[in-house]
Amino acid sequence: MSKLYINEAKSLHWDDTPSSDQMAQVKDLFPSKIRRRMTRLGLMMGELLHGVEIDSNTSIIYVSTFAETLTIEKYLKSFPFVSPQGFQMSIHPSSVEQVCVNRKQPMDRFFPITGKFGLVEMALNTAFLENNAERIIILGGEERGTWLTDHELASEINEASLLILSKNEKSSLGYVSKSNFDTNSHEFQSSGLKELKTAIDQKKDTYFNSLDRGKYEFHWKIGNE
Amino acid sequence: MVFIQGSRCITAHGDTSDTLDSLLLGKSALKKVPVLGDEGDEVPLALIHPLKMSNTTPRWLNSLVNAFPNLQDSKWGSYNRPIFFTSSNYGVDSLYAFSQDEDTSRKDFATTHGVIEKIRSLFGWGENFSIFSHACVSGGLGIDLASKALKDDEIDEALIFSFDFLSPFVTGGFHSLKILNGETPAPFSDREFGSIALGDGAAYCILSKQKSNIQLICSSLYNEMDSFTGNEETGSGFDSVLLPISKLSKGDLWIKGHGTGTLEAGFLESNACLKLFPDSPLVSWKGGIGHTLGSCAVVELAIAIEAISNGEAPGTVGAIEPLMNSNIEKDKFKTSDFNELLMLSNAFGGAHSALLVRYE
Repeated sequence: MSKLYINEAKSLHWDDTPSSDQMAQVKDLFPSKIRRRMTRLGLMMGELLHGVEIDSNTSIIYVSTFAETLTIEKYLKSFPFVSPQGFQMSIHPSSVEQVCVNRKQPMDRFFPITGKFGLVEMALNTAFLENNAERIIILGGEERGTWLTDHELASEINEASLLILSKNEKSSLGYVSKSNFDTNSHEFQSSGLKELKTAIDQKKDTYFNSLDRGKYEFHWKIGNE
Repeated sequence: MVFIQGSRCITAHGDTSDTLDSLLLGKSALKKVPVLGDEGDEVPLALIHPLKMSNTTPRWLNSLVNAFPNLQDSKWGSYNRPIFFTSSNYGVDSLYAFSQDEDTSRKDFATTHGVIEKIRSLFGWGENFSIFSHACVSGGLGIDLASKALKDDEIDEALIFSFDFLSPFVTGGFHSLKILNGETPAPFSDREFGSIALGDGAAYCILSKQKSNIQLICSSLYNEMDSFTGNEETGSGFDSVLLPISKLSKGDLWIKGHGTGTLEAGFLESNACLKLFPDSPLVSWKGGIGHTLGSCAVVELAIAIEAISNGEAPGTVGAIEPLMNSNIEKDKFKTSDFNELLMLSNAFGGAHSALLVRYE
């Protein structure tokens, strides 16, 4: 069994139309000229990454099923008079790039992942492979769409999550482990990021278990919030 | 140690062998096509399939499966044999088509997960896969992590699978940025303006620890995060990704560069290669097959391996004098004069990947 310790875990949820309080959280994180051009997902990533140091020993794993939905919707509707900014911002992994380009924050190892079924497991598998990194940041998020959401081609919610993992057990909140498929446990695969947010918000022990992917478990220390 | 067991591709020139033969002759598969398929400015594209979808099933789906019949094997996607999908377009062609005609039968293919589920089903693959999407360095990421998993004895073999088929979503986008314009690209050429071409492409490579004549020595990744579209102006991103490679390269090296045809990136890339690898010829093949986007690293690796097997590598197709630097090779050359290959890709956001391969 392999283990990585959870050093930080946080999530955020914005209303369908973000409230003024929610937008106030990000108001001072970026210059107004830059903030106005950022996507909702980019702003959520900015809030999660606020105060999080990234250095050459940090690996970043970014996951999203639908990514910059609102931008994609506008971009698609701009045809045949195509929006260059819409195209630029729609390309995965735009949201993290928006934050890091603003910071002028280079990084060596950055892994943008997408998909839906087994998405959390994909992120965790990549984290366990990045075992040379001193810290591994898993970032994930979705932004609520409009007409694409009506057709189930985009998220219904604005949510984002962050996990910081390392081999450092000191002051950890718990750990994530990886092992072979457990024939004695129920088979369960994640279907997007909601299971990751639930794991972070509830801090209840949980697992993902499938024959082909193996078993990933979250174990939280009792009393930690 | 990690070895490449097999690698094949399809491009607008045909299969791996046809693609290599055409590039060795300096042939380009680019044709001028309306940028939105049936309207708009004409731009150079290397298409395997028409740009616009007519049917609800992606026009490339069956040909993708038929191109690689040897991959129809349920061992892929099992616990010890993961799949790394490494593309950039995935379902955007169906998403674009849906946005135009609102035909709900397109929805199954309009998401990344929908397309991957269909491909897995057609190939008979299991559920141990990861889907990477980082524009033109996607292939480099997959190869890097697959190699790591093998070195850590986590897996027995890895399949890196890439496919990118163009649609108005992406051709319209690059055209709006003015880099996909009416001009034919001339990679690494010192001219007044830059231009790129795009192409359809698909490829795979298989990595394992079983010895073969092609060894993957190391990979290097770097992300400048200096601006969205351009590179840091001193070329520091190129230097950063190449430096680890330069410390491990021992032999006689040739370089397959990214070389899309843009000016600034072309100068920065060729400058950095000349500085660290002054004796190494630098080539680009995007003038012959177009830029196949997320699949470019794996497509061009397949062509390079075919070139090694056949003894000759194509020069920089479409290059015109004067060239940007003295290290750029216009003409074909013998791969037996070398024993190492450096594969480079870079992407928006200043993302870079580099792979060092040693061969016998």
